[in-house]
Amino acid sequence: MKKFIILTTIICLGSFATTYAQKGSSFFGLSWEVAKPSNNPYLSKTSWAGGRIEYRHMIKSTLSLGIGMSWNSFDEYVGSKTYTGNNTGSAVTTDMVRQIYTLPITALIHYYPHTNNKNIKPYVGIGLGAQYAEQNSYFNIYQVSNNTWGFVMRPEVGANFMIASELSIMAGIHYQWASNKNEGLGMNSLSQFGFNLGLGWKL
Amino acid sequence: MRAISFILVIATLFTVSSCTKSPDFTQLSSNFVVATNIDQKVSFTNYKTYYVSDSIATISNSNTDTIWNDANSKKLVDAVKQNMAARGFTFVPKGAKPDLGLNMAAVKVLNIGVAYPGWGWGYPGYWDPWYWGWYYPYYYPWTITYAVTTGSVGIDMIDLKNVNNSNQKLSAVWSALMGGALGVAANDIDNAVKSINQAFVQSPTLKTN
Repeated sequence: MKKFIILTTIICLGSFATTYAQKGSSFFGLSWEVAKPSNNPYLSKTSWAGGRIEYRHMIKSTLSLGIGMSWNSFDEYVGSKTYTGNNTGSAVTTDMVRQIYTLPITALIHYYPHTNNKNIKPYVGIGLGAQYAEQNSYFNIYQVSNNTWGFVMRPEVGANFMIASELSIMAGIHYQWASNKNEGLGMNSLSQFGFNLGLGWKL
Repeated sequence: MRAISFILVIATLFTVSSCTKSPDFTQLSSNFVVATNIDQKVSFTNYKTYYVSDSIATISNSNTDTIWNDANSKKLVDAVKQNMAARGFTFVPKGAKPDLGLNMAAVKVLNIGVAYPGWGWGYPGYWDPWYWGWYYPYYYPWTITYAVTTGSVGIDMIDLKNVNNSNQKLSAVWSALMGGALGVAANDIDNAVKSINQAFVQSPTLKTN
């Protein structure tokens, strides 16, 4: 009886995985996202307050197109410092909380290489699109804000781990680069490394 | 089923796009922000004497407050005098034709407002209601009323030695503006004195020797 149950489960999981990635099928993913800014003079602290939603449609069993959106909120406290302008004679002394909020929206393409394990669907892909970013500085009761739009690209690798016929655990790592600038803060672009972990539902 | 899935996706998109986490403000100090501006073309070794009034011009919510002259205002004026003396300048009466004249002004304003943060912002963990120190609990439909008293002190240093008589203009060779939220009066005065000291610290070329 035990062997029968194990065998049935293996066969069912195998067929679930096949159904999940069939041409014409789609899935919706919702993940928790963690990201760390790279090469950023404004702040460097990791954001644990991020997320990602995405929709992928299989146009072939090994290729999907889709759309995705992430959000991340980075914030960091900087102790009292004196900031001086370049040869302007101006100086400001204050402590502050620095914040960057990013919202990239990308068109996605993913490739799913063939594997012998039908319960694991690895993928490699890239997202290209636009990113909205806010940079905020809070000091005493004052706030200085700047909003920008830029171009974003986001290569990533990951895998879907099937846990039911229409449900998978999604895990991936990414690098994200965006052209959002803020010359006053010395930022010529916004880039980050990160990972996301979540669930995918077959639609 | 497909239509419902699509609607769910779009609804989630709009919902989460408004989710900005409010930063942790608990580490922010209540020290005033101190801003200064100095004329870099001026050599302060050319000035030796200065004058500053014992009274401070004042603007507040009360329309009868125009001059501030009490023990607290004296602390601020004394802080300016001590810093000027430490940098080699000599205080002289107004009639003794000082090289520099210092004007001091203070602003104290009570700000009252109502905020409608929206349902996404009102959830615990997304906005710290303790930041201002006093608040009204939020209730449906998620309005928040706040009252904050803000204050600032400004100092302008005017060049009285090189007055331009042709266009009758006076030049400000150094200015300082410091301010922030106010709380207990004794702490506010200490804050103002500390910020005046800082204004001079961040102006290292402001000295006569």
